[in-house]
Amino acid sequence: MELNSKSPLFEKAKNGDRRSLAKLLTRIENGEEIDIPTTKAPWVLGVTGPPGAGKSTLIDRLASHWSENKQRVAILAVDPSSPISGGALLGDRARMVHSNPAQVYFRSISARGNHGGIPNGLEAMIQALSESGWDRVIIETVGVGQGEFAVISVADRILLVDGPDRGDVLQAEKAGILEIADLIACNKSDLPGSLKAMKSIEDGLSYSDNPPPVISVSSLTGDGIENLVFRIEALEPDLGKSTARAKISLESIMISRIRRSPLYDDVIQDISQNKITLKQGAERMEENYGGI
Amino acid sequence: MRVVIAKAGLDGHDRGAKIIARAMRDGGHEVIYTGLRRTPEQIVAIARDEDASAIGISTLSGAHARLIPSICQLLRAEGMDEVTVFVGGIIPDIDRGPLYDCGVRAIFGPGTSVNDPIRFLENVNERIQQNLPVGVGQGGTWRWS
Repeated sequence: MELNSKSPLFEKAKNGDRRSLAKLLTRIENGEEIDIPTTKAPWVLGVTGPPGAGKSTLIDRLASHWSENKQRVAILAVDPSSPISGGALLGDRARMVHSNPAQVYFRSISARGNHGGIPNGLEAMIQALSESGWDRVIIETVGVGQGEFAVISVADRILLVDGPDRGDVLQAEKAGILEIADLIACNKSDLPGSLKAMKSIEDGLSYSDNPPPVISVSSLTGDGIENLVFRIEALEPDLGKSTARAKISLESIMISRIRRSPLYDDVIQDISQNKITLKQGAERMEENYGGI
Repeated sequence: MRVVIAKAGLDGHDRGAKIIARAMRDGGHEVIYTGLRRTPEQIVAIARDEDASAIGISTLSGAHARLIPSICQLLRAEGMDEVTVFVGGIIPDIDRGPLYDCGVRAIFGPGTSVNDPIRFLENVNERIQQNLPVGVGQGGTWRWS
């Protein structure tokens, strides 16, 4: 059964029933299509950065700020799945301590074998949340390297989180993340060495054209959070960045479609056993494009 | 299966919970860890928002006789009858009967192999396929032993 705007599950989710919302998202995640008219563009913030930079704690602060201002905030936290078992350990919500759970919906999402790529149905989940009255949708994922951050490219504003002693901004730059990031939060301003960290991030950016502004915050004390919120709210659409994001998200979706193709494993086998060349393999995938 | 691993009350010992969470991930499940010191209300809200099929409560503080029945009652009050509740930690024999009576389907004590809770979830899955009761509000006397 297709999920549409008349489905009881969606009606209930829209009326604030969290259990129906959770069940609706599960069905979308498991591959069901939705047909809900878009009445307003979703407001989506993507947050990424290296492990331990403090993304979850910072998101807790942002969500808390918005919910105090009567905004309903939904967080989708995407974590990798185990390549061996397919299972996943989803622990980001352990950091949610400040925000009011009545105003904030938090959902953990496993990448389900598609590490760094856009999880199945993410776009539809965002739409379902937005159409059922969630004013702000935040997508969180860990990532600095190439291909690790495609998840957040579905967002229309992107925050990169870094902190003292990490030096990952250069890695982020190599990976191309600065082309899509709107702002950089230098977290943990309460720690000694944070000024130096700000300086080193800014130095690292000095060779880039049009680098994203760097903002000092402390998720621990709350310092700088209001300023960060202000800067996020004030972001203007940027054609260069939205083009770069569209490119990354389209490519990511295409890659996962290729991986889901029934031919994929056979073609990989044939290439690995030198039965066909790479070029022939690619052509075989293309010929059967309908099957992708 | 989507499983919430929860620490309730003032108990700050979560090594066991983390080991079980990892073992369940390795068993192919999507495991959501709540973090420390959650109230029964928070744990039920997390299971609801995450659409979890099971909740595993780790308890080593001696507060199980109060916290676990409270979680089970809240789940039923929310209409989450089909959610399976299991418990790990230090539960004296004398306290086990009342926990089973309030809907807990398995209790894993010290010395449990990490494989046991995984086999338990597999068993729960099989029973769901056969439409047999596994949830906190579904009645029946089935429990893991």
